Amino acid sequence: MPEPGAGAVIRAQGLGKSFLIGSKSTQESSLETTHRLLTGTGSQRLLWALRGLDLEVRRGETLGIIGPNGAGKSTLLLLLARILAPSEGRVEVLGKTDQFFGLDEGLQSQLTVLENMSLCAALLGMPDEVFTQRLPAMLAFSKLDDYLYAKFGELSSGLAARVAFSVAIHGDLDIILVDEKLAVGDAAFQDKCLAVFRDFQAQGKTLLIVSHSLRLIDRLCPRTLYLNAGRAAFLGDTTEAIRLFVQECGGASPEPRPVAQRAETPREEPAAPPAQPEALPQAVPDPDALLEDIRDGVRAELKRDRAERATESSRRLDQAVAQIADRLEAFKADTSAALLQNFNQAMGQLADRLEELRAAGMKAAAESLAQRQTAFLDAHWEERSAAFAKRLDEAVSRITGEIEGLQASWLQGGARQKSALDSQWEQRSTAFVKKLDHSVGQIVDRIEALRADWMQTLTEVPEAAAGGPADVVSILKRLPRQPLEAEVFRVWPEALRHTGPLKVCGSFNDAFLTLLCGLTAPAPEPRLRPGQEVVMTAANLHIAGYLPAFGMVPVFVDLDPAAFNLGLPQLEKALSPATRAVLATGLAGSVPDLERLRAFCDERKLLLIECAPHHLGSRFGSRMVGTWGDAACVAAGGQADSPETWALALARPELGDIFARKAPRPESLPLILQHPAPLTKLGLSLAREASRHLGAAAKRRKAAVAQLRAFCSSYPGLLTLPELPAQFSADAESFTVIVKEGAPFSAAELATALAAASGPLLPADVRMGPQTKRVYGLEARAVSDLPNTGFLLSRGLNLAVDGLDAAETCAALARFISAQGPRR
Amino acid sequence: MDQGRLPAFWRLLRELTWVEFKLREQGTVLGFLWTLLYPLLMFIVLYLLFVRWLGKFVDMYAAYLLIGIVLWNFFQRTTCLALTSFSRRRSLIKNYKFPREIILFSTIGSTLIPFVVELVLLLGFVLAFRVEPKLTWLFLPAVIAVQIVFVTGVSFFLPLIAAEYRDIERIWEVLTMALFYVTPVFYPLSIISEGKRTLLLYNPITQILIAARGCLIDGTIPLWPSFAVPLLEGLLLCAAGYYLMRRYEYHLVDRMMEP
Repeated sequence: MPEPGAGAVIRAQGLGKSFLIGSKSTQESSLETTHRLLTGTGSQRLLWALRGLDLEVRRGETLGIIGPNGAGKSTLLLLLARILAPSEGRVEVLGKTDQFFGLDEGLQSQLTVLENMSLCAALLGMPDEVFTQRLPAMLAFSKLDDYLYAKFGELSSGLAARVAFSVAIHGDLDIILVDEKLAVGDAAFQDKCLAVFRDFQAQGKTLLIVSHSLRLIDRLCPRTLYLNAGRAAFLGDTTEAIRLFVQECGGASPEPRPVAQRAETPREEPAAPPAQPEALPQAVPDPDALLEDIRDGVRAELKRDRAERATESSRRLDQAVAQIADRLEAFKADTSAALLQNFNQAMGQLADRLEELRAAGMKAAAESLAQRQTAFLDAHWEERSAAFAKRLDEAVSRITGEIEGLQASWLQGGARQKSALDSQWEQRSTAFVKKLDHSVGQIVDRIEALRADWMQTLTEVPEAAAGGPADVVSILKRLPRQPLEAEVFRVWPEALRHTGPLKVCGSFNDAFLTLLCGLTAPAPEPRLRPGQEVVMTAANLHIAGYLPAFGMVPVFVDLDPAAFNLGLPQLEKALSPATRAVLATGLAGSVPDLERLRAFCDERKLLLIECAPHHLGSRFGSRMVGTWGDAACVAAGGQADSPETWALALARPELGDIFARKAPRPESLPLILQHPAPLTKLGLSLAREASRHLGAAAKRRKAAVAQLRAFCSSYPGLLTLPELPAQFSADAESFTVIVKEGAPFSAAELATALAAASGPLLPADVRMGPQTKRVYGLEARAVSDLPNTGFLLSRGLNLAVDGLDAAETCAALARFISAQGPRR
Repeated sequence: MDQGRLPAFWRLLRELTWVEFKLREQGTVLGFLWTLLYPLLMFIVLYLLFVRWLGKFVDMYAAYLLIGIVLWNFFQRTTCLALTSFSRRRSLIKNYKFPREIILFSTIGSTLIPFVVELVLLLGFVLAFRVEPKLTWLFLPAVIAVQIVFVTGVSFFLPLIAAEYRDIERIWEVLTMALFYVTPVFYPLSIISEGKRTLLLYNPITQILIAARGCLIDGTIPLWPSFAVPLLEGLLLCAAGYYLMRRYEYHLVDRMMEP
């Protein structure tokens, strides 16, 4: 590297830098690039950002660089920083340097401030140990201690500018190139920067400062380079450089011509490089820069013009104001004395006159007022007081008279009213007593009739039973005939919220027969006729047995495989033109979906007959079981041989006369008296007790059923539970569990074991399959094979819940199952 | 550049490598995992596609395929990133004075980090594929070094071309894809006919793959030509690339100043 003369650290000779510039510089395609590189021509043209610059800067010098936009200031700094290489001429820079602007652009917004400082230091060529050593100084300068681990992108622009700057000033640079973009940050920070520059100057570092702030240049730099359109227009004393800059660019003419003429004398364009066509004008300024310069010029001119005019007009205004003030002062002095004198005189006269007038007026007014007041009072006092007294008297006498009149009329009215009330009372009470007698007689008659009716049905039973087995007849004969109390008929409808006819029967079968008699009675026309079909499940064979006797044909459908009860899909299949009724029965500890069944029957105009022998008091959805069907028979009392076993026959209000009709019982009726119940307790007490009993018993049963279900559910491989409809409040009197096909024991074995194990705890009514599919030899129509029915009957185990200790039963079941397990 | 600044440049290289790595992986664990997952997914797909067809030609097809994918993936990822490295670090180049190839090295360094992890995992997988560990495994670092030299040599040219012709980004994608198919990454050379096989052997990556598979699976050290040829080519490319970089260093900045 050649020795620079006399301490010069920067020496530039004929320094020039050209760029390719054109409207398409960014969109240039590869083809065009190839073409340009091959031929050296293209749509782009060369722009000399800087040309023919001779510059020598000594060590420790501070050089200002000014010029309009596009003059080549930044290009010069980039050339000096060795980021750009000169296109012509040469430049020597001795010492470590870097430009002091644009440093922020290299920082990464996703990294922390500390990481960025480290990166920036590395970019400025600072070794590890130096960075570690100077970090505290950097932080002290930038005051960024609190933001060290903040992401750089999260900083405000003012704070962000400090990051790179604080690193750079500790970067051991010998030559510092400053661009005014640096001047961000608050005033305090800017002052600090200025202090830093002064410090650099004191340390003997070389500074090159580019700025549009002429004040800053003036303060810091003794020598200034004034660039215009890429040429050095002036290099020397700062004051002179600023004067020239202001005159040429801040003045009226933004034309760079005179500048070029002055500056280029020693550096006339050398032989044009081959890449540059001749046609290129020398020192072509960047059009944008030129436009910007023109704008700058116009702006400055306008500003100066405005300032001049403002000064002129303010001077004139001041003059005029002064004149006016003088004249006003003179006038005031002249006039005010005379005016004051006149005014004072007039005021004195006026005051005297007013005083006189006031005294006279006051005196006269006082006298006349006193006179008039006295006269007025004298004249009116007598007159007014007399009139008032008179009116008072009148009013008192009028009120007294009115009071007396009212008193008289009241007394009179009272007497009249009393006599009227007396006579009315007489009349009404007589009528009421008569009516009461009448209705009591009617009620008694009605009760008598009902009782007679009831007694008659009771007496009919043994007659009908005449064809039955001898022991049945003997049981029935032993029944004590106890008269029923009338209240029974009131309690049950209330308990069930039932409005239609209701009949209390001695047994469930009796109730069902009563129902069938009513439905088939001829007058005026029968609800059910012989030959019509009644659809039902085959699981309730003992009920089905009655139907052929009345001429009906039972049609058997299979059970729903999940609920093990009558299902709508199966029912749908069984319908024929002859179908007239559907028989819904309680089965598997539950009832079918009565709500949907009701809708199903309504839609097809079918009669729905409910038979729920164990569900009296159970609830299905919004209604009680037994009140969903057109006709129903329900029963309560679990054990078949219990003396409390009895049943109710119900019907809808439309079938009001159903129990009044007399229909002969068929000769062929098979008498299957399953529950021959003595009617000993079938009175008011039982009815009340039973209806009260519903709630408590239901709760007890529910708990037991829940416990049993939960227990059985824990053996999913062995036992199945029928699904209960959601609306059915599981108030069943019985609980059905089904032994699965794969289980190592049969339902019969389980039943036997349970009966043996739990002894008296287990009720006698452990009914189980298989039952026969014969209907007492009578005609029936089976829709198809009935696998689900068979499954339930052969594998189902029905436990009556009443009186059953659920825990005890569960334990017995568990013992049985654990005993079976290992054996098979 | 004077020798005194070498520590500073070394520091800059470390800083930039870390920045490049951190920005790419977004500093998250999952981001880095995805980088590792990519070759694994590629392996699964190719393995399922080709094991029945090509598995009978190659002993240890799974290990064979995985080695190919890991080494290929490094080549492809590094060259693609190197191609855009200068334009991604445009603001640094425009504002700071430092040897421009540091940016290139930092890009290679940043892909080297996951590559080394992949290599360690690769050894684990190769063991899992029941390849016996052999003494020749110790030769693997040398093969990897050759690959790094070769990749560096190629990477020298790409950003220089990219500065002049932006289209190269698209073209290089297509080129690497084509190169993938003429490199025995997922197929064995033995299924290629004799004449074409010679042609494929001119591909230095083919040689590197042969060397790597040789020392990992077969237990051989194929010094010539599989080791020496790519090494010589890589060194040659590096020298030429460094020369070009020095020569066009300022031109590069001029091109970046333009838009």
